[in-house]
Amino acid sequence: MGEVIVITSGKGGVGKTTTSANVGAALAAQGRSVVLVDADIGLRNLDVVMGLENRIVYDLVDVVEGYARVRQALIRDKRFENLCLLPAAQTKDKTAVNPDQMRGLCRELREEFDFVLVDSPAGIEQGFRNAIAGAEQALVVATPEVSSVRDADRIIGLLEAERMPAPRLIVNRMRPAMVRRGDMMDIGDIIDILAIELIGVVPEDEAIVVSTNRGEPAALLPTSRAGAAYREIARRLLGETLPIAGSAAQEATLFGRLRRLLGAR
Amino acid sequence: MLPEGAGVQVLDELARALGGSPALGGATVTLAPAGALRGDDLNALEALLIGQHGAACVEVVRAAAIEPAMGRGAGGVAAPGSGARGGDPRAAGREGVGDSLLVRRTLRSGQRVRFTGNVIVLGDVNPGAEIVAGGDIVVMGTLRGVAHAGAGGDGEAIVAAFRLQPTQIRVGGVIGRSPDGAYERPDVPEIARVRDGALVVERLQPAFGEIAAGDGHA
Repeated sequence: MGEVIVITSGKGGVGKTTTSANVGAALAAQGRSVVLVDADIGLRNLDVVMGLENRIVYDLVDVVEGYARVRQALIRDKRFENLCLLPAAQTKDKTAVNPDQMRGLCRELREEFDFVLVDSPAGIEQGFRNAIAGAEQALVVATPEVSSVRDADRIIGLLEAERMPAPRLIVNRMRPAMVRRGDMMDIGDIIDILAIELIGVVPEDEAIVVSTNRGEPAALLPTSRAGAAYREIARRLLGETLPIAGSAAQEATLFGRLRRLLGAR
Repeated sequence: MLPEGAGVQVLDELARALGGSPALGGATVTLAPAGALRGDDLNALEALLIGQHGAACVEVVRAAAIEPAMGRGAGGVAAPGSGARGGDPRAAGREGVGDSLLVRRTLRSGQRVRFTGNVIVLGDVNPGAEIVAGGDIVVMGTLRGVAHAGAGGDGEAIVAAFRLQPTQIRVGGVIGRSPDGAYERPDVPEIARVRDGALVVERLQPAFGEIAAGDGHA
């Protein structure tokens, strides 16, 4: 039985959809069967990022309303046999689905896939409630900005109230040079406030803009630094223990500082 | 109002009464337990009200003191045994001051605790979180959010934290906020209280008798 993981953030524009697409592609590249569920009903994006927009026939709302079977709505990825997308509806809104329906849908999908990744909409209202309903784990995406960290904190509080065990943090769009100059929050500052496990730091990378527009996940590009970070996140999800890439990130953690003090590295 | 020792039975009844829908969309729910509310019960209630019924936040107030009668006892801080744990509302003359709410977790953005007695947090209070207490507030962690001690008008209340970096502190009717821009953040426990009508922050000295006396010269 597969794992259902919701990717969420509270704040919009921090990279939930990019993260979903790239972590999904990276897991598929590792040979796991993955389904990406776009829970952002009314603001459908994940299909575009995956480059699958032109293949949509049925969507998530059609499935929960019984107009289509899950199998009919799933779109197989161009690159990987074992990667599928369940697109959101573009013409409806968040009230078209309720948490019970999402729970049922996730239960059905996890029978067939190793990983069910649910891309949550921004906000804390019904769309968010729907996205987390069927999930048993959460990845919280935040950028190194005070507003984003504040919203991530709110989301973690809501996930805790839902008894979601230990959400894990992805810090996105990190710019090590700015951190070194003291112009950006470092990983230590963020972890200080959020106090959850860090599963990856994704550097700012222009390749993301290009790959998003082309519908080619950067995780599949060997030259992209962000892509490499996403591949590492996928391996950590599979249980590997890897040091968090980016020396700035490592130095910033208290542990890193201690290690440097002790001269261990 | 919940009977003493809000347990599984009450939770079930509440769940049935609320039905299956997010009926509380965005509302603030105020709990007024007649007796002590255990941390586990509070968490379960929160999961039910916020998680399943869409409430925005859950507050806890003391049933006995919804109409604020905030007379502060002579000693300032509760004497040992006067109910700092669990709280006996009948503890003579100490109501609202002797009672303490122990919050055994970090308060995150958007979470609010309101209590007519003292509030002790074993964890951090993050930016965007808020504590309103009739008595004192002690944070055994970093206070980054808003803390309002002596909310019933008690100007002798204190706010203390292992690391005091609040967005805003209020004591009684006095409001203080952290300076704009960068400022020194001492890496030691600190205490805020009102002196001569102004909020003063100073290092928390281990002279607890001085704090209890409430007239200290640090």
